[in-house]
Amino acid sequence: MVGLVVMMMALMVSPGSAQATECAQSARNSGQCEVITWDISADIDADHVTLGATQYTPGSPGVHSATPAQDAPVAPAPAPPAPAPVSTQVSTGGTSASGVRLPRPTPRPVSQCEVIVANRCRQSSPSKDSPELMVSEPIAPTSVSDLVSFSPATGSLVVEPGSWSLPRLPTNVYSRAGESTQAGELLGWPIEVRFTPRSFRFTYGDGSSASFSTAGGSWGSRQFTPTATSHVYNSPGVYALSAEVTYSVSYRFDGGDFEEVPGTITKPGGSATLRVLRVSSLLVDQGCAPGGLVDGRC
Amino acid sequence: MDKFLAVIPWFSSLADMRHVRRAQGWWLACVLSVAGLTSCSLAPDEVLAPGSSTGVEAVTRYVTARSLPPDFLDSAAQAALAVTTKYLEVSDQITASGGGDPQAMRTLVSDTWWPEEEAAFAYYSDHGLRTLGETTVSNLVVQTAYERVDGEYEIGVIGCVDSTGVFVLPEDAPKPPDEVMRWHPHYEDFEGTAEESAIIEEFLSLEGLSWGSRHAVVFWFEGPKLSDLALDSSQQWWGVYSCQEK
Repeated sequence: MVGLVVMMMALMVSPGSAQATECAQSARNSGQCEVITWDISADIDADHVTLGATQYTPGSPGVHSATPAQDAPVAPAPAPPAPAPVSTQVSTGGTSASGVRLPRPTPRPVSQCEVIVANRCRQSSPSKDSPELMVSEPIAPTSVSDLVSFSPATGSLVVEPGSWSLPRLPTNVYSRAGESTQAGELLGWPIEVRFTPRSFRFTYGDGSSASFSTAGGSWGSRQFTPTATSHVYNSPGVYALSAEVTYSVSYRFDGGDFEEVPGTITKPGGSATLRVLRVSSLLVDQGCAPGGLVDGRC
Repeated sequence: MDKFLAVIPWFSSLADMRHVRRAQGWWLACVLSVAGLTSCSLAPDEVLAPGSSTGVEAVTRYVTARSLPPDFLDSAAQAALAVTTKYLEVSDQITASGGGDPQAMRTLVSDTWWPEEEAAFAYYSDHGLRTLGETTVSNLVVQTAYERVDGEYEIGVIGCVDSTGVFVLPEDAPKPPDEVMRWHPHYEDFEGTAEESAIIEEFLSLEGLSWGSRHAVVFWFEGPKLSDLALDSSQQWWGVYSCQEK
């Protein structure tokens, strides 16, 4: 189905990646140092892709009483980090609690950059305790969102030998759609989206159509020879041809490696009108001079 | 040359972090030109040298309009450690007093950074909070150190800042019992008695109580001399660096 197929996919880091902002040490200690989290997603529509980034701040200041600071090695709220299991063990055991090991909040890994694009650290995700962070600290309303849409360059359809052809001989049809890259900016980050043609569907106007993984190519000097994408018209007439090109999509930030986006985009690849001439047998004493055949006549 | 190129990403990422919100004209242009392997208009010397590290390998490059002494990075590392330690110490002292009198911090930070400190301390006084305990820094790595063309030094360091031993608590909260101070924050190693665990439990359940955390933090200092550096920026570091608990 080539309709509106909307696919929500997580790119880069799911569900988001974190980026710390400038703050004083005393703010970090009191949980006031905000850590911005990004959600990046992609919508692939019929003929374009929309990359989205949402930036938000988890939690809100001062609401997490009796728990470690917001960006501390947090145990899932609302349970206090240590005491409860101790009480349970002590009360049930009825003896000395010596040897009891209190559960301790899992230290949050902070050391490694998990998203390196173009040899730069493009934020590290909250990593393994991200789900806990999401559960324990309600997400504040979105503070910043950004969307940017891209679509591939329009390709064109080429018919050879030209606007006319002959019945029962191969008519060459090919696409000039090629790889294209568009640049944009997503929440301040330079981003490029690349569209790479993956398949070509030609509708020949005589009720037939065919799909190819190649765009095809020009005859060159060998006219009316079969090609990978050529088509034979059996009857004279006027035919409306069209093409659709399906692209894969990839993106990159700031000169890094391209990352593939799941899904494809299908975009019109041009159209053409072809007149297939009627051929009459005619004996001649010599053929047309090279280049002298125009509209089927010498 | 390979080593030279390998330095660029790290250097660039640190510069990025600092200048996301605070781009500064010529300095940024200079940094960008360095990152692009071009030279500044003043044709500075470009020097590669190992940075100071305690367990984490670091490579530092600096740019200067004139030659710097060969022990510049070592001196920068010592200066950064001293000023970072002092900054954390004063910060803890101010918050221990409730944040109402932050003036002791004024000379340790730049004019542009001062409002950040003021606002952070004001949170304590506004909410009736104070701290108890000390923040420590370890594994300090000089990532970037150079002398600007105007003669000012800029030093970027990453450190493992540990404030897990710093309680943030209401001003009228009782002093943590000895049992708490003995085990906090390593409760997984708790081997005390039932009475001790009950005491710990009672204290940790105090409303408004929290404690700090352990993070890799990047600090930027600047000043006319290595012995006169002021904090100009700080933020949590998400780049490549080891801040694992020992």
